[in-house]
Amino acid sequence: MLLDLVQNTVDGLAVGAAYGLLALGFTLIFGVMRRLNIAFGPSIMIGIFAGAWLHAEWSVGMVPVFLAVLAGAVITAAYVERISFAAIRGDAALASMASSFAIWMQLEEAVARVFPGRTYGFPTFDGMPMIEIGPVLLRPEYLVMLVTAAALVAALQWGLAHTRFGLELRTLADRPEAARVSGVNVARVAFLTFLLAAAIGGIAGFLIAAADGQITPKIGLWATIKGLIAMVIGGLGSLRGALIGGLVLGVVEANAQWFLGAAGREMTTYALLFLALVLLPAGLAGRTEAGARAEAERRL
Amino acid sequence: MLELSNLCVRYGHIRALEGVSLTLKAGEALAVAGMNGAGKSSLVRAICGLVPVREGQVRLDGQAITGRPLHRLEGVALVPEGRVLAPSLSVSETLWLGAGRVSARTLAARRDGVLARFPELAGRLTQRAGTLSGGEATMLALARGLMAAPRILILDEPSLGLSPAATARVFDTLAELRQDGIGVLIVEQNLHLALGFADRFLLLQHGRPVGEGSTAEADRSAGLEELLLGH
Ligand SMILES: Nc1ncnc2c1ncn2[C@@H]1O[C@H](COP(=O)(O)OP(=O)(O)O)[C@@H](O)[C@H]1O
Ligand SMILES: [Mg+2]
Repeated sequence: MLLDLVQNTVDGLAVGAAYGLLALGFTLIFGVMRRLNIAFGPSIMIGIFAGAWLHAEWSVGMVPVFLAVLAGAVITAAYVERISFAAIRGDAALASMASSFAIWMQLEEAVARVFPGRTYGFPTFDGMPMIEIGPVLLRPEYLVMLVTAAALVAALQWGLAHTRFGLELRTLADRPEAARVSGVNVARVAFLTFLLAAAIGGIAGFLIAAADGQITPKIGLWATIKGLIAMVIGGLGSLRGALIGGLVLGVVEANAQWFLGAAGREMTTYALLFLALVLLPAGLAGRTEAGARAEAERRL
Repeated sequence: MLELSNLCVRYGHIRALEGVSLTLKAGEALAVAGMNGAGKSSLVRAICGLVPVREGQVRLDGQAITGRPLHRLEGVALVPEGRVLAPSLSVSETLWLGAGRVSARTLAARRDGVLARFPELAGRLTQRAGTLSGGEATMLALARGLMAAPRILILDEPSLGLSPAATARVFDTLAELRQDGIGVLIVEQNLHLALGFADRFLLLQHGRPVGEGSTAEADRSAGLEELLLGH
């Protein structure tokens, strides 16, 4: 029983790290544009199918597949940004969301037509041995997930703190008007943030698909929902929160699946979302962005 | 040199600015005055491409720059109304933000120059902008503008809410900047300060220019003083 709990928690942390990356992508877009990109998951799905197609047609290795996923997700995100976000006026958040919803359906339909079967194979990390930590087993692809997520988050933190783009992104998230009056090219930063989020999401999607070994067009919706729930649990707008939210979601899901079954897992996930909204409206990471801004402005 | 000809700004059917023309040369200072809602901020924001220009033209050194956003306006910097700092950025990061995309060496040189002007900021480089006092925040907004190495500096009511000492400090700095050849366009409600500092003034009422000239004349003309005060 206790061993099961530990084993599930280890597995959950790995999957949760991938959820955290999805939530991180959402949070970056939400923080900078203050809008939800419903088509975030489906952009990742396009990338995953591009990778699966390349693998099926040319039986290429993991690295080209990974690059194809990344490129597919980023290019699709550029398309979504141009159509649903850049082209729509700054204050029309609802129109952007509705439009990204429409694009999601368009993308899913396109993939369903090109790939009419229900599931497709995706290359896996073959030949890597199972890792034993005492009685606990760690799947090698889960180790890759954990290490990649940790490295990515560290790189992101560093980039946000030390690069010019990071500075401009943080300013835009904190106070857009301050970016504008300081001569920041706000449209450019928003566009690049969109692409960065898609790249992070693409990496998460690749890791998840490689761990499962098979994909369906539903993976887009799935990624959007997991990312959204993890973001809400962690507190909208906080990068650290997004990561914590992903890990919590992964661990709770893995244990619920084991002890309660698939239906129990779904119920537990939505119960967790509900609890997060009711008990911690500011998320696990603490206070809200709006609260922090109000506090700061009182002093100004 | 900055030249505005017949500039018009509208918000829907509100005519915020109607037919404003002016010129500003290197080292010169122009004060823009007028009551609340006269269109002063709209003028400033139109020059910096922050609101759409309905009619008229803005030229910088003879080149048309109408409607260009600040990131495409080399040589122009803005110290906006209410300072508009990002509260979570440190003082040091706020300065970096103002510099734009420049090399590390240029950045360091500008920072040294700006911090020499504002020693009170030099001791607070890691403090968050949101925790500064009003006077310090104004200095930081001014410093952020100077990090762009502007030839034209535009300020929108920098003295708002400041103590007389802090206000005097702002105007002393502006006087130094003029000596260095920077053209200063300043929106200022405090008439004595505005007329004492600037070479020329422009008076707006309901978006229209209702008076302009040299401040030396304005000092002598009692009638203008009344007009400026809005009687
Ligand atoms: N974004 C806006 N939308 C609609 N009306 C505006 C906007 N900004 C300013 N105005 C109006 O335009 C007029 C001029 O405003 P403004 O330029 O801010 O004046 P000032 O800076 O001289 O106080 C005012 O009547 C104001 O209400
Ligand atoms: Mg104003």
